[in-house]
This record gives sequence, C-alpha cells and structure tokens, in this order.
Amino acid sequence: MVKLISSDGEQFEVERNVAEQSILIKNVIADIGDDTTEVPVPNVASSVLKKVLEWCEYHKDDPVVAEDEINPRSRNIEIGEWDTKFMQVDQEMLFEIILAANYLDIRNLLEIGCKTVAGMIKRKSPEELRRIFNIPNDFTPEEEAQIRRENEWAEDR
Amino acid sequence: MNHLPTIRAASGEVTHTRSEVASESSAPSRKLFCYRHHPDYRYRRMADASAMEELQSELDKMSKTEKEEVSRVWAIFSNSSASSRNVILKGILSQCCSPQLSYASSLCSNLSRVDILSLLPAEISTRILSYLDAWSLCNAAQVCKRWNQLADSDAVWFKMCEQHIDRKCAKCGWGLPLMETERNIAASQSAAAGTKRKSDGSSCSKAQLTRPWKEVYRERCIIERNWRTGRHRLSVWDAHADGIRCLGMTNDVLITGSYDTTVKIWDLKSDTRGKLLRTLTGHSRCVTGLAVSGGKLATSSMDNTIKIWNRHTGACLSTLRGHRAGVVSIDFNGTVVASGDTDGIIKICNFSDKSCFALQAHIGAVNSVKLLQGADLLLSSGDDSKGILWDLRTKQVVREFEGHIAPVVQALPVYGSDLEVDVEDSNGRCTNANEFENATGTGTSDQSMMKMIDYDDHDSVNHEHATKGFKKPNYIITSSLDNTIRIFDIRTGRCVRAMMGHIEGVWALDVDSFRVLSGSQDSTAKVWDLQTGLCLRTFTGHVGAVNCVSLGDSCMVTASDSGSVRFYDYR
Repeated sequence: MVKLISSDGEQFEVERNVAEQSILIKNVIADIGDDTTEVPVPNVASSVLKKVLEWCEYHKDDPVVAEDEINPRSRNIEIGEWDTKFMQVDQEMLFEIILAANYLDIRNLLEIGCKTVAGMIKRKSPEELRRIFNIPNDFTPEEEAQIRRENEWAEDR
Repeated sequence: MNHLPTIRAASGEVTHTRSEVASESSAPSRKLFCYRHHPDYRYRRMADASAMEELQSELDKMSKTEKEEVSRVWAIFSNSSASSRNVILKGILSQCCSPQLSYASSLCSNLSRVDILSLLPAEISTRILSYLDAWSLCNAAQVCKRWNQLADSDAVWFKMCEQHIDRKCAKCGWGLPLMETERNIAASQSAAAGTKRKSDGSSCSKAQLTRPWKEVYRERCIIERNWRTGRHRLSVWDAHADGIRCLGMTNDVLITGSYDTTVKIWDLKSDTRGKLLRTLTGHSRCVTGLAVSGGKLATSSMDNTIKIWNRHTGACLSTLRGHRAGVVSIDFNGTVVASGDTDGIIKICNFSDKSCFALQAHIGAVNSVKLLQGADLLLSSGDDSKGILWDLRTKQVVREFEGHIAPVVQALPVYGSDLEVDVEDSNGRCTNANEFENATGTGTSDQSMMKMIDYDDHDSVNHEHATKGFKKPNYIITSSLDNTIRIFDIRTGRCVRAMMGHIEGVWALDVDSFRVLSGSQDSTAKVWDLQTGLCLRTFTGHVGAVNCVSLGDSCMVTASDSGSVRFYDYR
C-alpha cells in the first residue's frame, strides 16, 4: 500500500499498482525504494485526487502505454463507456483532472481528458463555444468579420 | 458596486482548493491565489460584468435595511476562510427548500463553466485541438483572441498537414495533394522577392518556404474539394492538325507530340494558357512518346529514332538511331533513356557511362516503358498482353504481370499502400495469381519463387536507394485494349483489381497518390478513386479517341485523336 497526501493534507491509502498508474509517483517510489512512506502530492487537492484515484483503481490492470507517447496520428475522439461516464463532471473538475493527470503523468487519463474537451468543441459554432465555455467575445465587429472570412473555406466540405 | 461581494479575491485568506499547498512547492506568485482568482487569468472574469450589473440592479430595488443585511452577509462570507466558507455554504444550502436548491444548482452549473482551453498549459491545449477536424478548428479560431491564437497555431496545423498531405487520413478519408513542384516554384519566387519567413525546423536555406501550416492546408483542401465536387475551369484548344499521340506536363508548360511529326510546347500559366511557345520539328514520322527531365526532352518516333531536345531553346541535342523499327515508347531520367519498339526490343542507353544494351521478352510492340528507382528497375508493357518488371543491373525479368486479354498500352507504378484490394473478385483474379498459389502450395514452380526472392533481395539492395529518396512502388497499374484497367501486386504479380467502365480500349493512363485518370477509344476520360477503384467522374467532350492524359495535383489534361487538348484546372 502507498500513502498519498493531497495538497490539503488528506491521506489516501491505495494499492501500489493503483498509485503507479502515475509515472510521477512510480518514479518517486522507485527513488525512495520503500513503498511504506508517505508520498506528498502537493499540486492536487483532495477532491480531485479522490477522483483521479477512482480512475486509477478502475484502470489498474490496463497495459502501460509505451514511452513514445500516444500515437499522434490517431485522432480517434471516441472513448470508452466507463471513461465517458467518469468524465461527466462539471468543467471545473474536468479542468482539474486534466491538470492533475498532466502533473502526475498519467498518460491515458490525460488523453481521455483531452478527448473529452475536444468532444465539447467539435462541430460547434463560435457562438455555441462562447456559451459552453463562458468566453467573452473580445473581437471588434471588424475583426470578427475578417476572421470569419478567413475561416469560411472550412465550412462543410 | 462597493456593496457587491469581491469576485476576484486577491488575498491569502480566501485560499481554497489547492492553493494553500502551493506554499510548499510552487512559485511564490501563485501561492496566495486560488487558480480561478489568479491575476493572470483576470481577463476571464470579464464575462461576469453583466451578471454583476444585474445583481446591482436587483440590490437597488431593495429597501435600505434589506440592502445592508444582504451586503453584511456577503461581507461575512468574503472575509471567511476557505473552510468556513464551505461550512457557511453547507448551512445555507441545508436551509433551502427544493425550488431554491434547484435555483442554486442552475446558477452553479452556469458559473462553473470555465474556459478550459485558455487556462490549460498551451501544450495541452494544442493536444486537445489536434483531435479536431479542420472545420471545428476554424470555428474555434473565431471564438476569442486567445482561442484564435491557439487554434491557428502552426503546431496544430502541422499535425493536420502531416496527417492529410500525400496520404489518405484513416479517420476522415481525405487526402491532400503534395504539390511538390508548385512548392518549389513558390519557394524560389519568395526567395527572389526577398521574403524571409521562419524556418519549419528542417535544415533549410533561407529560400525555404514557410507559410503558416494552416494556409498550406487551406490551399490544398480547396483544391481537393474542387476535385471532389468537380468544380474546375476548362480550357480547350486545337493543338495539332492531326491526332495527338503523346503529351507531357510540367508545372508551367504542356508538351504534345503528334501524328503530324511535330512536337509543340504550350504555355500553361493561367493568363496565357494554350499559347503556343515553340514547335519542334525534325522527326519524319509520327511522334509516339515523350519524356521530360529538367530542361531536356526526349521524344520517340515511328521514324525509328529518338531525339533529345533542349526544351527551352528548341534545339535538337542528339538523335539516337539504335532501333530498327518504329519506336513507340520512351522514358528518360536525365541520364538514362529507355525505349521500346514495334519489334519487341527495349533499348537502354546510359549517357553517363555510355553503355547501351537491349532487352527482349515481349512479343510484338512494346507500348510503354517506365524507369523505376533511379534506373535500377524498368516496367514495360506490350502487345503480348503482358506487363514486365526488369532488373536493369542483371538485365533479367523479375516478374511478369498477366491478366489482360488484349495489348497492354500503359503500365505505371503505384506508390499508395492502402488500396482496398479484392483478390476474391473472379474478374480481378488472373492466371498468374493462381499459378502463384500453386507454387506456394506445392513448391513446383521454383522459378516463380525465385522471382519473389529476387524482388525481396532488391529491398535490401535498395535500402541505400531508399535513403537517397527513391520511393518503392507497391503495385503497378495497367491499361489495356481489353477495356479494363488492372492493378497488380508488384511483389506477387497477382492481379488485385480490375477496373471496368470504359466501353472501348483504354489508351491512356496516369496515376497519383489518390486518383487514376484514364482515356479511351470511347472518346471519354475517367477519373477513378485509387483506394476504392470506383469511377468518380466521366469526362466527355473529345471527338475521337482520348490518346493521352496527364494528372497533376491541381489539374489534369487530356488530348485526342482529333488534335484537341482539354485542360481542367481545379485551383
């Protein structure tokens, strides 16, 4: 078992193979050479760490992704059913999960997070995107018209 | 607005989530702020300005005592620590009735929308965007300035280009033209104009072209869409008094050879397209074939000769008189000339080592010759209904491609690897494939096995060539007077596809990474999808057989027995 300490001091005790989904934690454990010590995770709050560990627990038996990263050519945006459900959180939490996956170096989780956001962006109009992500339009009407013209070519091929 | 709660808490007292930990490790500038309240992200909060005004006006409607009470509650909350804030919220929520909870929940889902893409580190945002298609990216670029910056970035569009240019994207089925020659011209032009642009990372000279990758993608995407929808500009002109027998296209000129014994060079620049630049005379009978290499042009004729020309001046540089019959096919790579005649003889002349030799296997005329991988291999086709792959170093036949039942007029290499082949198709199966199956099954046809090994040996031998930039073909494509176009696997000799649609013999053929262009005795030209083998479009308009065709990245040209040229511009 490995003890992880979240940014707000909460303790999480998990199996070693669950924690080692995170390459960062795996390396820390390897460096220390003793898995009974506590591993601080100073960049992740307990609410987020709890969620991330839930993901790690479910995926603990997955094959490890090779070092040379996820195939950049596979633009497949589809993700599994469990992961889709797992990612049905508010945007704040989604943001935090992606940041945590990046920090903890959990490649599959980072990929799923990125795909989830990509899925929210895909095939949406600029107005819809502003509404979905609560973004003010900071273009002047002239700039906006100009940019619309520049991007017209891509409209439904 | 001083009665309103402080939205952007900038003090350490209101730390919540992970900020308090930050004191242990991260940069001091971050430690006092919840990430949502970090000054770096201030611009995001502008979205709430209208909400604030709404709140203000609601407050203004209240009586003075009410106002004071409300603002006191807010003040208490804003001065509380993160943990007591949570307790306060919990307490308030537990007092709420269901409709109020529902109200709170709708407010929360609205307020917790965050601009994830802008807040994440740029490399993660880039990664998110690289899952998207061109249309989604172009929409994202119109959202706001930050998104515009991210969605237009070279990193994202380089990946798009990498995925689509000169290959078919497995996901969307689109491939975009390489446009190599055009790129080189543009590069030299921009160099001449003194335009300096940032390098794309490769070891390149200052002349190297570096337009934004989005622009590169856009240009090609428009051309590809025009190919798909058939939108083009057509130029038609009568080029020769007699039928046109062969043609060649470079990026700025079209060269035609005719039964009228002349070779003509035509301007292809869009404003002067179809203008005659030069007429080359010297052959005494029909010009049957031509091949361009750099500034040189090689032509073959029924007068038994081959001529090499300077295509810029029109001067005839030399005349080769090695054949004793009409020369009907030619290929030229600058140093090696390959030619085939009506007696079935193929001659290979190398200008650099002055060597010259003949190959004979075809019975009857050799209708096409094509040098592959520098000049190590040669592909030929003939009246004996065969295609033959030769090794020019050993002067041996590597493989024969059989399946057509009439003379094979053209044989060309295919470099695509993702063809949907259909070996079960009874029409597409050929005797050679059966032989091959027998050979592997029983081991009787040692010769056939040897041939296979030969080609595999080439793979290792040609490894050095691969590094020199020679692509190795995976298939060959042939057109025949039996009205079909066939594709053969170059390794096994097996016919993997027959493309049917022309109702008379197919004289002319060209192929690139995505398409096949064919011209037939039936006066039509057809464009086919290379991957699927489906006929995409049929072009009518010629009077008489379509004798020769050429396929470019953004254009195609067909020429007929009546002497006219039709040029289709897809830009």
